[in-house]
Amino acid sequence: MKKSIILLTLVAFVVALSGCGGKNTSAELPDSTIEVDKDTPSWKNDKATAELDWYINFDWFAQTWGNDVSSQYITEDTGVSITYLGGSDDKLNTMMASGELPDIITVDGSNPFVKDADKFALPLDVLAEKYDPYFLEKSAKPETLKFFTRDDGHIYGYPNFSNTKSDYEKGGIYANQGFLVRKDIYEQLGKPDMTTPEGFISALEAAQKLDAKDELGKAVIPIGVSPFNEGSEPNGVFNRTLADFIGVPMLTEDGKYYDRYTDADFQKWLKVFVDARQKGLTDRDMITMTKDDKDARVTNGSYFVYFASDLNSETDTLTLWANENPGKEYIAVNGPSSTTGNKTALPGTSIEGWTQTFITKDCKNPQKAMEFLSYMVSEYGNTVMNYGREGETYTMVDGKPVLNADLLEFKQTDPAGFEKEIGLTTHLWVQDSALLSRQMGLDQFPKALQQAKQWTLDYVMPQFELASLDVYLSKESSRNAEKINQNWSQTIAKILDAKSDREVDQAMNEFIKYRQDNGYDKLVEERNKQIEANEKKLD
Amino acid sequence: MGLDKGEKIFNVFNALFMLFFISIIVFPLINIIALSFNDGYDAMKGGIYLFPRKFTLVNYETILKDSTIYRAFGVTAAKTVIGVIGHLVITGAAAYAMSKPYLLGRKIFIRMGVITMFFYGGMIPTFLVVKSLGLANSFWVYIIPVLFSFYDMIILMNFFRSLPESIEESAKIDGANVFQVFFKIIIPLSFPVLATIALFHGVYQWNDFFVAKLYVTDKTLYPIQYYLYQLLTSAGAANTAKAGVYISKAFTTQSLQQATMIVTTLPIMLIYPFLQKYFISGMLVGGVKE
Amino acid sequence: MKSKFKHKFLSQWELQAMVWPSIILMIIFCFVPMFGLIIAFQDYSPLSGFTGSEFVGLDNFKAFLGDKDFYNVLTNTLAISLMKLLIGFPLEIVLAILINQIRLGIFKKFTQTISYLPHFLSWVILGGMIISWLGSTGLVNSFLLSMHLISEPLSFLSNPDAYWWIATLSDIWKEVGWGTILYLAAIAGIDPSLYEAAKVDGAKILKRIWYITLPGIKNIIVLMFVLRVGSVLGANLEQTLVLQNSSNMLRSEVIDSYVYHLGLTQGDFSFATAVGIFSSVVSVTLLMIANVLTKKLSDSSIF
Repeated sequence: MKKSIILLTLVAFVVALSGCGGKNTSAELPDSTIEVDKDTPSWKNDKATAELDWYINFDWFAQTWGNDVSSQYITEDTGVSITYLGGSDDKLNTMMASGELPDIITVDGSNPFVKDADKFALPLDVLAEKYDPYFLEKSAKPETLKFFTRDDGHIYGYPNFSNTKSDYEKGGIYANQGFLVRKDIYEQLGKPDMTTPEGFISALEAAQKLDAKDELGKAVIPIGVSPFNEGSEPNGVFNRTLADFIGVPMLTEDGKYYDRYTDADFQKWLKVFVDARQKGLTDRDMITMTKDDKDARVTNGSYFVYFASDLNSETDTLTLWANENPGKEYIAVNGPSSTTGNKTALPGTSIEGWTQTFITKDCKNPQKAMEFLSYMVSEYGNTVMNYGREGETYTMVDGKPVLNADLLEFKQTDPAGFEKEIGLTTHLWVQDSALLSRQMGLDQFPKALQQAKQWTLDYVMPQFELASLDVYLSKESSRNAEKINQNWSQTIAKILDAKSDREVDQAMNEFIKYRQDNGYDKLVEERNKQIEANEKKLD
Repeated sequence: MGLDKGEKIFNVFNALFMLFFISIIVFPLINIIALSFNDGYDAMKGGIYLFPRKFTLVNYETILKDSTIYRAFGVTAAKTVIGVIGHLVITGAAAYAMSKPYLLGRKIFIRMGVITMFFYGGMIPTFLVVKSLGLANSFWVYIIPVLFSFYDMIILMNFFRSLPESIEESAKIDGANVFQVFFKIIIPLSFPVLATIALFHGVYQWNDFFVAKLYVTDKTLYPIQYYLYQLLTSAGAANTAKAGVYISKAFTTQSLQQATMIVTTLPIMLIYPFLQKYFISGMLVGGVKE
Repeated sequence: MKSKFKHKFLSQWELQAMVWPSIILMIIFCFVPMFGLIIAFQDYSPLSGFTGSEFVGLDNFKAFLGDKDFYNVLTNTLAISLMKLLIGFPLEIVLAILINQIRLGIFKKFTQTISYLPHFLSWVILGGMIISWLGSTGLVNSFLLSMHLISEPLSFLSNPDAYWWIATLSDIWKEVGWGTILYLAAIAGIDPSLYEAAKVDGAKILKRIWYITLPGIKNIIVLMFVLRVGSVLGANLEQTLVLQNSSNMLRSEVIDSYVYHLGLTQGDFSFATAVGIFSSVVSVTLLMIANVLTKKLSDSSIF
């Protein structure tokens, strides 16, 4: 029996070993089957077809290629038909370990594998030169390409939603945070100024005195914030939204990592919130409530002020409330602002975007994969993906594509059916969101969000220096970063439940000590390195 | 035989306690059912407890008109039935053999088993082994790796050990071999515990989607719970887009989630009453044969 | 010696044939993958593989053993598990006996079916409900307020000291019915004639439970107890992630969630495996102690 165990273990080792090695390197790429030309996208000349597997590391993505109009058009153009594979980190890890990868892979930009892309992905610059120079020349955005060029001079992943400085200059970029007030109450109070600590507190107090009722007949709560434990920003608005509103700088004057938590103005405003809590002006369950609880509050109009760290995720709640209560809808107004003269600076989508897409070393047909990627990234490809074919699914009005009326109605009445059958905008893994946003403007948002989105236009600011801040950390520092984040969550909870300013200071001091004991200096050092590297790529 | 007074009082209290207990347990279930029959958007307002406020069948219609779930149901049913039978045969046989103290190598086997209960090689090495056996993306990946469970074997072994030795001895004297004894005597005598293990493993098979998530890329092999899992995660989809870009995506309401959960889980929830008769028949056989 | 072994082996070939398929399965699916434990001593990356990753000695163990928070996490894990064990474990047995005593067949069936349904609800769905009910305007506070038991809402969820109780009680609520199944199966195996005889002798119902039912399922109780002791370091990850919040984190972080936060979400498998090995060693030790103790106390061993 012992012998057989040893034997099997050996077999297993051989299996494990055979997992690695034997990959294409860029030197062995087959020659292009067509004449390439940097002014013509290769998909126009290459009539060959290919079937490629595209792995998307998001479980919820259930779209099937070829069922909807959008993907059918793309296949007609490029000759590439895709089989989507879905999964989450577990699957990605095992796939990477087994050494057998699908042709194309899309992962979140902060995924730990991104930093080792040279080990599993083919450099896009090399592929492009060989098969589709148009990619570097025209399809891709130059600033994005520069930002994603690694130290070895190669580009491995291409992002979606990458918004560059020139995109910001062209306009049409919205932020996603908002200080919302219930219009009727706000007007009843005489549109109070809530930008100063005093004005903020007195408006909340006035709202409480007003004794307004929500849909359930309960007293309106003066202020609520985004949920602490679910959603895109941890700790409600206290990780960054409040700091963004009061314009706490992101960097020190000499361009280094700036500790926003200990900023004096931020601390001052924190104490204003503590004061509001002590006076019973906030939602009692602010720290512990779930998204469902929050949804119930917003859809019943239970808040006078709703301070939102993620407007997009309020689409359904705000729409429901506004539709049933015209005149009482939530509108964005100026919220907490700097007491030291800083300007509100809200983050828009960054140059790092959201995901990154790689062509892997196991790719069956690197040529077609490159042509496909180049097509999808290009303005033309984006338009096909988002709008379909001119004359068939959309028409040009004032130089902008407009979806046919019947399709628009389909989309509004049966969004799920639209996704499945028409599928426009769903294949968004290398989408240029800035382009779409310029084409659609405010119309991309449902009515209930439009005013708040419009409000953000004046305050949205490119903040790219902190891009990928924690992606390239060492294991030790990334563990410490997580510990410090957790401790900050606990600290903010303690602060918000504090009974006096002294308790706030004490909690802050404990936090500062905790992070000092847990490798904070090294973490900041590594972050500074990243900032420096970013700045170089942003010039 | 009649009931004595103490027993009557006991029964009354017991019944009252059970009613109390049921009401504590049943409330969330009713809540889920109520939500699943409520309009999804309306449900966001909260405050739905025992009855739907805006009754609708739309949630169920949405699920049932999706043709992919029927195939997924088939996969789940197949893996549950085949998995349970295989598991009982393999693990049961091992447990019987292990219940004999004179089995050669028994001690080593127990030690090995205890080690496997606590030391798990990890997801990646397990994946590599399963894949090298050609099981990835095959129906059998649901069945073969879990044919044997040391935990279940320990439970079965302890039950088998408690069976009276005399029955087996008399069968052996009548000329039955080991297999005959196992199938004709041990199994019928052990219906309650076999039904229990069948239930445990059946529920595992029905509810598990992790194996599919990891090993299966062929969509026609996805079990029904994977469908529920996707729906639950899709609710958080918008949040994944941390980039702050507005994605117009069909909204998965909480009501739709609850309805999906009911549709996907109800069949296995209702299996127990059907298994209950085996608990009783085991007792009878035991009583008669003794 | 060898031929004696061979002879003995052949004489029980049927039994050996019954056990070997399981041994082979166990070797393939449990032992072979154990070579993966090696990554606890490496700086492992799936891309470099088990042979290509750099060895770092005991660094991964030092990383958590040298972390002050880890001992707090260990305390939480043990406390919650022990509370679940001390309260939940006896409750399952009591409930099984009580369900078994229900006279009306249909009511019995109904009770039992209902009792185990919560087992099927995922923590994601259930957790959200529990948090809503425990909120300041939730059902529990509304009830307590309406009964004038409290004058203002209690903050169950933001009070770290309440977390152990919330975790324990919600887990019991979810799993107690499911936990009765095995005991009911054991009770079903008790010879009914024993009860009849005791009744003839005039034994009252509580006595019959004490002297017949309990001894009849003693083996299973001991078995389940030992197995439960062996798993005290595994507190439910899903439950923790759902019920955890910034306020109660100090008392809610358990080993599994610690590994999840600091290891798995960072793609650091080496760290996760090192913590895993630590818990396994502790668990096996506890299991062995429990087994020896029960052997001494009840002269039956589960193995």
